[in-house]
Amino acid sequence: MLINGVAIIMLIGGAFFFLVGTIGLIRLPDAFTRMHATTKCDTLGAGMILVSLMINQGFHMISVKLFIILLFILVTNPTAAHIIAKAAYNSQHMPTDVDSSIKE
Amino acid sequence: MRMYKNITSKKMAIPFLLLLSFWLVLTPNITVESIIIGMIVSALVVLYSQNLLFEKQEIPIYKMANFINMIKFIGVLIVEVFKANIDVAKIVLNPSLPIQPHFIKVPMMLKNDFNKVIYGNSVTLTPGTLTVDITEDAFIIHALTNDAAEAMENSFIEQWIIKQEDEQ
Repeated sequence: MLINGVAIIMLIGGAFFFLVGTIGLIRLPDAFTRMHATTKCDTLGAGMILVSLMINQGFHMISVKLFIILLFILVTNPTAAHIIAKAAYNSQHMPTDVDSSIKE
Repeated sequence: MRMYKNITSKKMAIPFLLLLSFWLVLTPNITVESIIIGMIVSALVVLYSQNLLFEKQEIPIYKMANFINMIKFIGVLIVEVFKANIDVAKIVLNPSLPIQPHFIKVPMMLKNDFNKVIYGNSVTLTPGTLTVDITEDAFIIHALTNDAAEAMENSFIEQWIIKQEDEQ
């Protein structure tokens, strides 16, 4: 009962962060700021949904597999974001309506 | 005989154990046959790709003490990831969209490639900052707000990574 409650709360939290990430993708002005919203929210959203599934499964081989998926998401998500941002930076994609000078 | 000596070194033993445990997790039911096949396949993969594997000094977490440090660091990082998400949620859901996006340059203080990767990925996961480029002499980081840019100086990630680098 308690375990199910925790799993449901984690699931709703994960879905909420996915929603925020998507709203951010639509509202923010340029590629770099959009990457902020999507990477952070997708990592935590997917993480929370996977943890809630692990809690729901209990101590089982499936939980171990879900944990491996979680580890791969934690490593690959920021790396992919970095590559997209680097591609935008190298192709002279200029940030909109801000002072784009590099501060030391 | 030379090969036998090689496989007991840390450089080859750790990838072998990782591959074997990954195999054992993915096998539907663990029997003697599946364990033996897994060991043969992992050993062949490790032997075949031995010139691609990392040297021991390239990967700091091959040392036990560094590995335990790493686990503690990940614990702190998860708390930071939660904070990052709540920050981003506040900004995105605020009707006036309070952002001041700009680039900052953090001078390169790391030599080890593995530490650079950890630093870059941790910066991306913490509040309001995103690693854009890693050049020879600096990290170029995109900050979403002024507060996030100021928090980059002397952050806990930087302190931890420099400590890790010194200990090697």
